[in-house]
This record gives sequence, structure tokens and C-alpha cells, in this order.
Amino acid sequence: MGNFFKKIGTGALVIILAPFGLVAFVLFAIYSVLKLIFLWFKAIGKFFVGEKLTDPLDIERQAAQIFEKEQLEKKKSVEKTADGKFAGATIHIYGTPTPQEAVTPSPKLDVIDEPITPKSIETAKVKNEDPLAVLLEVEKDD
Amino acid sequence: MINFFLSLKLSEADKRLIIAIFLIVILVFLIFGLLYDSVKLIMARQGKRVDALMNLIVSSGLIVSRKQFKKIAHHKSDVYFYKVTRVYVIILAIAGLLHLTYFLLMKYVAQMPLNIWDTQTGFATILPTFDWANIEMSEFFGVMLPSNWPPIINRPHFEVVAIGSYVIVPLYLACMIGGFFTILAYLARTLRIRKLATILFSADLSEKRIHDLGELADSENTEGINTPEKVTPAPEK
Repeated sequence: MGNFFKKIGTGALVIILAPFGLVAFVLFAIYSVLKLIFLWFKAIGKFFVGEKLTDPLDIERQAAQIFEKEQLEKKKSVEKTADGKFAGATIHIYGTPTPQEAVTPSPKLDVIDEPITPKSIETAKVKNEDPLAVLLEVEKDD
Repeated sequence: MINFFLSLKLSEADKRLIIAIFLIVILVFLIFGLLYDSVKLIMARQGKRVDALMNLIVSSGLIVSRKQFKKIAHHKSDVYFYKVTRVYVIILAIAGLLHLTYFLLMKYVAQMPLNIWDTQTGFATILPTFDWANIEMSEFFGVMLPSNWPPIINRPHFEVVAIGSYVIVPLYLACMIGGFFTILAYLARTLRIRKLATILFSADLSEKRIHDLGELADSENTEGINTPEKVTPAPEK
């Protein structure tokens, strides 16, 4: 209810002060139009010099440089923190392959489907080893 | 004066009339109050543009005085005003050119009088036009008041000769409305700059005390003056 009466009071004040407000607005509108004409001429003048009215000011360029510098420093500090993030932590280096391991293929192992007996072990040995080396070893044994 | 009011004898009709007038006045006040609130809200939003334009410069700490702030803010506001108004000026120029061409065509080719606003060859052909001068009136509590809708002079209809008006008038209206809001926004920004210039360079020393030693007790003495050395106890044998 208080708000309602406040609105009504504001309305009454607006009606009383409206002529003054209107005059002030009209005067400001005239000033704006004059300013626009002035800006238009200024823009034309700048155009012939090879500049634009909408070009940033020197202070804006300086501010942008400061901002860029700050951003760069912030980025650097973030990178630093990321580098030292795992210092002192236990890393399972055998759990995951190193980049070199990932690139080089692992040696191919023969799978023996037969039941493991002393004979089969012997056979597997022969299969995997260099035949010349095996022959030399057999000769040595003999 | 009081006797005059006491001597007044009002009939039932007079009392009703007074109540009706009172309610109408209240309604008008309320409408104007709401209108003021909406204009204030719109201007506050438009004024916020200054904050966006000046944010980087102020944040960088390059502004050192109120005068400098005002100068740069006004420049930025002017340039923004120029950028926005440029669009409306271009539309106005196109509308003016179209109007001139349309006028020449109507005058020398069609040989018809041209008025882009009227109900014959103008935009008003597609609008209902009321005859407000001959509105039906009745006596209402002793006062003559409109008692019915006014008669319609023109019902909305399409006219081929008015086709140019259908293009030109909306362009003019867009320029008028857009121009009004642009000027309002420019005014809002000017007021905001004045306000910000006061706020940004104001200081509140009401909580500051020159001879306040309270903080000294808590502060760490890093100078080493009159600070007893910390002696580590010798290990027990």
C-alpha cells in the first residue's frame, strides 16, 4: 500500500515537473544534434588524414597492453603450477608405457597350446632359439 | 475560508462527480508514476554502457584524475553515440531520397497531390481514422462527456497509389523512435559519467583513525628492534 501511494506521489511530482523536464530534454536533443554534426565533420576530417573517429585512444592501447601482459603472466603462473603439481607423488612408471615403449612394438611371444611337459619345454626352446646356436650347443654336449 | 466550505451544500450527483474526478486523477498520477519508473529503468540500463566502455581503462589503473576520467568517458560516449546514430542517419537519407522520388513521380507522372500521411494517398489509408470532432456527447453528472466511440471516417484499406507511403512512413517512424531512444541513451550516459566521476574518486575516511595503535600490537616486528632473540633449549643429556 505504501508503494502504491509512493507511485501516486511520484506521478504527481512528474506531472508538476514534466514541463521543465521536457524543456531540458529538448535542449539536450538540440545539443545532441549539434554534437552529431560536429562529430560528423570531425569524422570526415579524420577520414582524409587516414584515421577513423572510432579508432581506440592511446590510453586504450596502453590499457590493452597492460591487460595482455597480465593475462600472459597469469597463464605462465598457471603453467608453472601445473608442472609442479605431481612433485613428490608416486608415479607407477611400469603401469603405463613410456612414449618410447608405446612406439616400439613389443617382442612377439609364441603361444604354446600344448600341455607343459619337459619335452614340450625342450621343443619350445628349440623353436625360439637360433638353430645354429642350438646345433653348436648339441655338438658341445656330445 | 472554512465557513465557505461548511456552507457548501452538495447534492448526491455532485458528490459522485467529485469521487469520479478524484479516481481519474489518482489513475492519471499512477500512470505517470509508472511511466517515470520505466523511463528511469531504461535510462539506468542505457547508462551502464559507460561502465562497459570504461572498464578496461579504469581497471588498468591509467586513470589518475576525475578530469581525465570525464574527458575520456565523454569521448567514448560521443563516439558510441555517433556509431549508433549513423545507422539512423543513413536510414533517414534513404527515406528522404525515396520520398523525393515518390513526390516527383506522383507530381509529374501520375499528376496527383501527394501527402504521405493522409487517408487518400498516404499511410493513413491502412489505419482506422476516427472523427473525433463529431463524437457523441452526453451529460454525465452535469458534465458533457463522450458517450460513444467516434464515427469512423476511414476504414483500413489498401491503395496502390499510396504504396510509396507504406515504405517511406515506417522508415521515418523508425528514425524518429530510434533517434529518440538514442538521444535518451546519450543523456543517460552523460548522467552516468557524472555519477561515476563522483563515485570513483570518493574516499571514506570515517573508519580511519590517525592515532590508532590497535593494529600495532598485532603487527609482526620485522625490523628486529627490541625483539628478544628466541633461544632454543639445550638438549637434555
